[in-house]
Amino acid sequence: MESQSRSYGFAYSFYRNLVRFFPHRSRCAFEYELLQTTEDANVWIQHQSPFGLAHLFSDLAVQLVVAYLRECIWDLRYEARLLIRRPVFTFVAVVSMSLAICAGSSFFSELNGTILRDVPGVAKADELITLQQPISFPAYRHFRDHKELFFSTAAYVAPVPFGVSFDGHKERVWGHIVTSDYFSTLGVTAEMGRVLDARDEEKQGTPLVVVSDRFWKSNLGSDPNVIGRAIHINGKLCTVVGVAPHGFQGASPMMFVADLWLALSAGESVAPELADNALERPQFTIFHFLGRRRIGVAPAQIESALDVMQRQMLSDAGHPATENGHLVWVASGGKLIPIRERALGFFAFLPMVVIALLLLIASSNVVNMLLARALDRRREIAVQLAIGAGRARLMRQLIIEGMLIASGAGALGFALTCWLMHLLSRVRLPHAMPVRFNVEVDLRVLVFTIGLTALTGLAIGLLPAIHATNPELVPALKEGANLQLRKRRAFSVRNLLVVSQMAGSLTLLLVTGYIVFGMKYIMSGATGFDAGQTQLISIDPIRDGYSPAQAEEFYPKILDHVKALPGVVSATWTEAIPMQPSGKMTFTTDVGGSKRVDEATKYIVGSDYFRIMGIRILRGRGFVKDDEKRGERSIVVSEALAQTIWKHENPVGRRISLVGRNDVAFDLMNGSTFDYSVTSPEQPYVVVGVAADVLETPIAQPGPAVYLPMTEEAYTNPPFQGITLATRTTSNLDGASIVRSQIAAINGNLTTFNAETIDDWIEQSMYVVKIGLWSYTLMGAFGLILASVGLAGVTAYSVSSRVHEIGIRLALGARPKDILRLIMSEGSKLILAGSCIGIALALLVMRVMAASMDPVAQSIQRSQSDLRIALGALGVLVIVGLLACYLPARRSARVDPVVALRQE
Amino acid sequence: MKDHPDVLERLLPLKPNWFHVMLSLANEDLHGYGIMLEVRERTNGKIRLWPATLYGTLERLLDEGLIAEANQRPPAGEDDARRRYYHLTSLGRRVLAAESTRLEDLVRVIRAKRRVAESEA
Repeated sequence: MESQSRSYGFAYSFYRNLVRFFPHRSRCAFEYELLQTTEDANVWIQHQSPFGLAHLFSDLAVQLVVAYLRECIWDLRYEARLLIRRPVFTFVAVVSMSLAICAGSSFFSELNGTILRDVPGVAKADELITLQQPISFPAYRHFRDHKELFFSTAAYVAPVPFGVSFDGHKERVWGHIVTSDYFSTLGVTAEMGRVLDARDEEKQGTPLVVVSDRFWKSNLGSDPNVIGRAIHINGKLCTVVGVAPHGFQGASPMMFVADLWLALSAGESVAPELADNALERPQFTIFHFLGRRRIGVAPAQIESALDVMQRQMLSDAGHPATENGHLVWVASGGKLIPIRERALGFFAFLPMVVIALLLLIASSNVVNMLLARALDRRREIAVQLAIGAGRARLMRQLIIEGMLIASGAGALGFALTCWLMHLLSRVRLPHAMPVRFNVEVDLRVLVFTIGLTALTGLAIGLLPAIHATNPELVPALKEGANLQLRKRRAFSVRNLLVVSQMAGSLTLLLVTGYIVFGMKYIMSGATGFDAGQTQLISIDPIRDGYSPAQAEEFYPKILDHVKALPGVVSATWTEAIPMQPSGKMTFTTDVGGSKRVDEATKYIVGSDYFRIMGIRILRGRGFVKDDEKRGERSIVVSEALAQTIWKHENPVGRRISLVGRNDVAFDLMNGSTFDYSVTSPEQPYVVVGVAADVLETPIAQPGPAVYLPMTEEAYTNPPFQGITLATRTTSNLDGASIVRSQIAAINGNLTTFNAETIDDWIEQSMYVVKIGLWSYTLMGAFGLILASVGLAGVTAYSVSSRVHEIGIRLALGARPKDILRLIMSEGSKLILAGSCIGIALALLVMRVMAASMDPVAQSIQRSQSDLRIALGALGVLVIVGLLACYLPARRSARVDPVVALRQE
Repeated sequence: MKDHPDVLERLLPLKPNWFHVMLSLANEDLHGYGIMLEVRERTNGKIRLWPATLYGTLERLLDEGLIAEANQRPPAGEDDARRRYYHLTSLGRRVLAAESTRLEDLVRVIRAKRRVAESEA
């Protein structure tokens, strides 16, 4: 019994300490009684010990939580009521924060949908490795043999267009040509039938294909008997052997979406991509590598090992690599966009800058407003403090206010993000291939938004909470509530906020201004061509199943017939069209005795191309039919190239040697493929003309370009865009239908695709950039409004809160002029400080962005010389700031000092 | 009086703890410990109000205006000066009556059903 009463004594004092944690109000009312009653009750509590004690404490714990919850709910309702009573304030605060939160979540959603998202359908995506550049098949064989690095490997060709026909339908479908271990490396099993596997290593019988679930549902009508169904690929009979699981669109759906997979063993009989003994040529770097690394092997290890192998291979072939850096770049193969791990931070960093600025401005706006309100409530808070409310409780109230605003903003911002992302997902990239982003919002984005909102709420609630509950009661309770004669006023929180607001807004405006205007200049500049009414339409006879000899016949026939149609000014076959070049090309020139190596964009075009597209020939001539003959080596260069290499001399008649030939698929990522090729014997081309510069991508100045004539090979080995017929017509003609019917009249089995006018095509190409421009403009405009409102509000408030001080000064003999001067000078100093910081920050930010994004660099360069932007942004903000100082100051200076002194 | 029906609607059905505390105060004013004892006795030890819960309930009841601190103290012999005594307000009585009526109605229905069930069996 004694030990029991001792332990009870200890428990009781512990209990007593815990009771102190009750909320203030309950404590005042009941603390003493509670303890008294507990003491009285100890008899029967002891009676049931130890359960009695446990029950006692759990009872206390539960009641503590309940009491606090009640308080919080009460606080919530109280603060909500206060906010509702000031609708304008609440509206401005919520909307500003919501746009900032929307920016943050949109960005994360984009990251999530691309870089962070696993390729759908694959197993254990983290183990997958890919290389950033495609390799040749001999190289692949070499890598494949190194089993210590990889659990399994595969290679595939992409993008591959297939001319598919079944049941009389003809379509152009995109897919991959794959090695037999493609599906096993990815860990994908068939939904129906089977996927390609080791059995398909060797060619046997009818070529087999696997189709995607999407293709099966939308094109094959969910045919339950699809396995074993006959289908013609590129004119050759094939059999469907399996359907891939739902959602799987290949190993790189973001870049090379696939609906069809053909085994490599099917070989060149089906796929023209594999022609010319593609599997043995070290220059044919058309294979994308895929590997599942062994557990414990790091990507960096793989990278260095493969790099060594690659160098070895090159030196074995007699052409040792000359670059010092990496030859091989490993990237994560399991994510939608394969990037190196280190590059992840980089991708994430850049747009973060603009968004961080936006958030900063929005937050400082709201913090300012909350501060102002908190100071308005100082009297109320002082009284509460005086009668004993804990500072913590009051801080909690103000933080709850911040949280409420942030929650409203978060909800609104999230809704905006959903809508924005939905729009973005429906954007089609203007490429021949149907790449589609899927950045729709999912759970991860929701969680991120909630986290962001909570953090923001805390941030904007904390500062006013700390500041306003400062227990300096005496001044607050006296009439002179807002007298601020602290010594260190220069660094008061409010002043710092004004300065940071000014700086942040200016930076945001300058950066977006330069980028937007720069891009606009470039975009509105002449495109370099003037195609008038030109209709484009593409065909691909090889993939319709025709042999090269047969295909060759179609082209001149169609061309002659189309040219003969009434209303047709001219027509030509071409591989490249403006803004869709044929790739890049390295070449060497001999200038003044020294050799130089350069790179240029390559366009393979037909005769009459320049005339039809309205591209001016500055010197020499364009192409004629004879240039297409075998053995001819004519080349046309662009103005930019001519100026770079030959400066002002006439380039016509000069020679250019092309380094290797790249018959390789156009790489979407960076417009070129890494050329491990061997320098082929001298093939000097003769420059026959100089063409005016033509826009290559909508946001960059045109770089050097070369034009090559269509050759026999170009006709018989069409790239994935097909061969395009460009027909220029007089104004009121429906080019599409007459050309199509003409082609059909000659051969009804030819599939035509990508039929559009050149204007439509340009429009498409510009579309994505326009969206980018729009969003930057929007952000800038919004930043401007936010900044102005915030700046105005803060300075206006700070001035009007000095009314008391002004009253005293007036009473002591100051003139209204002096007051104005005082306030304006102080305000101007703040604005000046903010401007300087803002400009410095803007320069820094632009330098960083320009260094990492080429189009940004170009547009900044373009608009740098335009001082109007800088002055405009600066001017607007300075004027707003000064006005916001001046108007309230003037009002206060005019007020009767007696009234001012009485006022709080 | 105007909010009479609304208050009742809002508070009924009464939380069990509230009901028991108010019931204890139906006939006499008590202090906290007294309420605890009374409830325990009345229900033969089945319902035990622990201190924290009790005072939580008392706080809520005070807020709702169903009970109030008693002005009249019991005769000097039984009084403990440090304790606070509580008594039901008129609103409290009304609420208690309403709840009792509700419970009685419930019991009546149950009895009727039981009779029917038994007669069928």
